[in-house]
Amino acid sequence: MLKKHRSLFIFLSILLIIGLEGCSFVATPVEYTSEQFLMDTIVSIKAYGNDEEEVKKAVLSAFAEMKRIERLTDRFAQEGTGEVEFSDVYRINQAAGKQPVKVSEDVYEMIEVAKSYYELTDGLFDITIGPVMDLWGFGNEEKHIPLDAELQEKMILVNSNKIILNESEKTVFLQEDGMKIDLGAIAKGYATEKAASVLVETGIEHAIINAGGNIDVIGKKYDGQAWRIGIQDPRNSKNLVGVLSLIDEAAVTSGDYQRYFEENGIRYHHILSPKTGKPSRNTMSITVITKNSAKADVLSTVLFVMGSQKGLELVEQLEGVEACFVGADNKIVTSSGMSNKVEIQPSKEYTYDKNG
Amino acid sequence: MTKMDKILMLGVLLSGLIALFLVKGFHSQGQSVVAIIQVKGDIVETIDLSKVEKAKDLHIQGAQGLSIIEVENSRIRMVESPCPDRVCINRGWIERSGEAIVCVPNEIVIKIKGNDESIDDITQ
Repeated sequence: MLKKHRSLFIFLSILLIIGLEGCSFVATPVEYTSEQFLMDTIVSIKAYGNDEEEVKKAVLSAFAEMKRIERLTDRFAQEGTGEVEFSDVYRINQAAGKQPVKVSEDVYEMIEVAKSYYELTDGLFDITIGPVMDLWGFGNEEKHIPLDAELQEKMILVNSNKIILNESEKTVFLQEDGMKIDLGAIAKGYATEKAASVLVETGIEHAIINAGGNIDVIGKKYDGQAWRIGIQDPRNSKNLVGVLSLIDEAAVTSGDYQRYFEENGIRYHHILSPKTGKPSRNTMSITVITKNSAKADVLSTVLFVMGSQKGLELVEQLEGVEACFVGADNKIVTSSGMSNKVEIQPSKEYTYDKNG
Repeated sequence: MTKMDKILMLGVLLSGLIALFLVKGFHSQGQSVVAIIQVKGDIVETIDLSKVEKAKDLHIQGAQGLSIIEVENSRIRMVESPCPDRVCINRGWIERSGEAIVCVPNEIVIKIKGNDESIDDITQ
């Protein structure tokens, strides 16, 4: 063997070993993570880049954007704190039955999107559910089961057809006195989408936002792999139902275990059907993945109320939307395009038939 | 290829493999369960739960008042917190990597860090 070949061989062996031992010699990116309490939950943003100061600045700007949306949509703004003047939703509700209110582009857009889903679902998604939410105490009061008579009285006020939008004036008017909109089923997703846009605009290529369980990922992970996102088991928080692989997508879960109270052994959770004013009973949890986080947020509520059968029909009609249902019957059902995005974990509690 | 060449090659490969196992070994060492407690996003306590021998209470000042957190060997929970809906207390014990207890009103988060790096986050 020639001497030349020998050195080449040794050189290659060393390369191989370095490869095997992991790329610890390659420069690692800067990772910056920050958490803030926002929109009634905890929001965490983790972003990667080359310069720590720049990444930090981007993350803080994203939080500022979310804070802005929080203030615009705060239904429970406090008088005398300056919050009231800033909260479009508070002002819209105060002016119900009286006059139209001029609002920000953001709130106008959210209400417009909400109305479009009201129409698409024949009223199964309705942001005018506010008075009924308050009756149950899912706003910010003591939670309790309302009397049927009380419920009927408030249900009259639930009707998104009575939200009058004026596109050129950017005004919103609730026609009946006592009507209240609640943007709880869209605001968090919208704010997350806005925060993600801020990160992208500042040049961030790899980031993950977790807004109280609503996940939005930007790009791939720094190592080029898809982000691996677990779906929580709705009955055992220590387990996962499955693991999603996401690239540039949002995943939002709605579940009956997120906000609830129990009375006489029955669970009353916060996702109310706009048809009955009572907690919807078809679903334990539903996870939606799609590009836009606001859309994912709305759809998770819509599909939760619809249940897996009707819900899947809707998902199959929508482009770029996939869903995974954990039904009240302990059946896991996924949409057709989900199979290459999720690994369902084997479990004794739930049954899963990949072919539907 | 001379005999010396073969010995040299084998030697290089072997030492590489030994180094590989040493590195991997160091990585997987310490199956520690570390809990971190955050107030308003800042870490105020870091506890290695696997090293806790006797149960103890931690008093943590949050945004609204005092929260009491109980620590045992390998697990942690919220015992008292000045919040109306008691979501954090009802959450019970947490022990696995990735689990968390959040008290939104008092702005306290208890999280278990761990070696589970197969998951980046959880949608819930």
